[in-house]
Amino acid sequence: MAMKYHLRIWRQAGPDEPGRFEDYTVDNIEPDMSFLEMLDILNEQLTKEGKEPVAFDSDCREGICGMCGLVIDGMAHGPRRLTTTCELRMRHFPDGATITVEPFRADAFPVLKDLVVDRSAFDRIIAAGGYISVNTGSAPDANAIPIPKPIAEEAMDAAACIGCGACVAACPNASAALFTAAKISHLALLPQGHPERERRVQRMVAQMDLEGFGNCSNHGECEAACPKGISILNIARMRREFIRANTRGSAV
Amino acid sequence: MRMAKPKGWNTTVGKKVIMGLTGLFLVLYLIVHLAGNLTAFVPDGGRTMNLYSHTLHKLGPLLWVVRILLLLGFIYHIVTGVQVTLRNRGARANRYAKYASKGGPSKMTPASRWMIITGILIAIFVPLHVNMFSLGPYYETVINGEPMRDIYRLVVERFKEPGVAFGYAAFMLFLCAHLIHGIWSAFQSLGANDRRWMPFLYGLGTVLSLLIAGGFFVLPIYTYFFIPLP
Repeated sequence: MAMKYHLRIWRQAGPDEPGRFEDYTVDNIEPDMSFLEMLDILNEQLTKEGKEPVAFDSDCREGICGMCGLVIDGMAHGPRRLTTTCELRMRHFPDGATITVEPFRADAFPVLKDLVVDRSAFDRIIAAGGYISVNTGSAPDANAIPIPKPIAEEAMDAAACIGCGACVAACPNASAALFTAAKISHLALLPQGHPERERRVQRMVAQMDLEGFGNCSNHGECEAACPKGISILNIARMRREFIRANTRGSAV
Repeated sequence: MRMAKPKGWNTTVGKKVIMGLTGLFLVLYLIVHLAGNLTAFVPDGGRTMNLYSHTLHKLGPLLWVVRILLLLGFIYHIVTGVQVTLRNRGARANRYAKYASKGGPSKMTPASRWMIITGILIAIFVPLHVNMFSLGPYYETVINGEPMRDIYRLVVERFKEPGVAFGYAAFMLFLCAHLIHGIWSAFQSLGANDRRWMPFLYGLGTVLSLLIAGGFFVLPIYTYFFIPLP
């Protein structure tokens, strides 16, 4: 069963160029194709017609790298929950549908080209404190520090963040609170993360603000859009870490 | 362009802590205020209400301390709320052509999206309200041989005017919307939330909002229809 779609896609030649929507029609789409495979078909079609293909990001195409990400019909990664754009199948769209495709929009994620955005702001947030300092060469035995199973699970749930940026894209305020909170949480929950916890939260929050993301207003839309289902309770934990750091008066 | 590194309570996280703290303080006040207002329902021609008001005013300097704290909390909440909103508006200059909620665990509602609107409406309402009652005409009455302000008479008189009664009630709907997102959100902003507390806090927020705003909503309507002028 081959299906046909009408696409309204955001086209933008470069970061400082004005963008606009363009309409395309793709035919012979199989229901089991992913959304990105459907775009691949469109790009082959455009290439054959001598037109510029639509630029979009992707890498692993199995939902774990965090590279892909489009706003499809107003929802980051499309209408399916717990699904990255690359794992979204065309069977979820009725034959003949018109689908609007936009880049993740946030001033902190400038559009590079068409649907590709620059998410290096996330890298700078991590660089500001999303790590632990250890001496290499004399690494302690992995099982030397016992960690209760429920705590390890909770840390893993936060560490499931693939840094795709859907939280920012879905947030009405373009806030990066869920991403930053997930990174702070997974380290704050574990003993290895404790020595640097105060300066970590201070630095990461400061960097998040410098990048120009909005405030978190607790809409919780980020959790709904997150392909890994990361809970906004991590944002509450980030705030606890933040209050703790600011009431203890540690050096930043 | 390199901005100064935001620190402490001046960060996005810090400002939300301020919103939460001042917000919860104002909610506590609303509960006390409502408890006082409910004395109007006692069918004794305002005796209970006037005695309550009189006792409150006998606190003297302490009452002024509370008033000043309330004013500061109110202003701090508004100023920070406006700052937060302005930053949010500025974080996405290019808006989506299409934007939709993904449902599921999302807590996004019209109430959560319109906090600034309902907030501004409340900010307009409060000074008018203080001006109408606290700063309104001073009627006097004598209870137990003691002269005191007949605030009950003023309240009933005002709520006999349909514009005042129904206008007041309408504003309480905005208050309800503000609280429905505001109360649970305050706990979340203060980090006072986890897996076990989440359903309770969200439920508490909704129930408290309905009770508080509901109480303030019913009073003018009930007065308009059922309480005779003293």
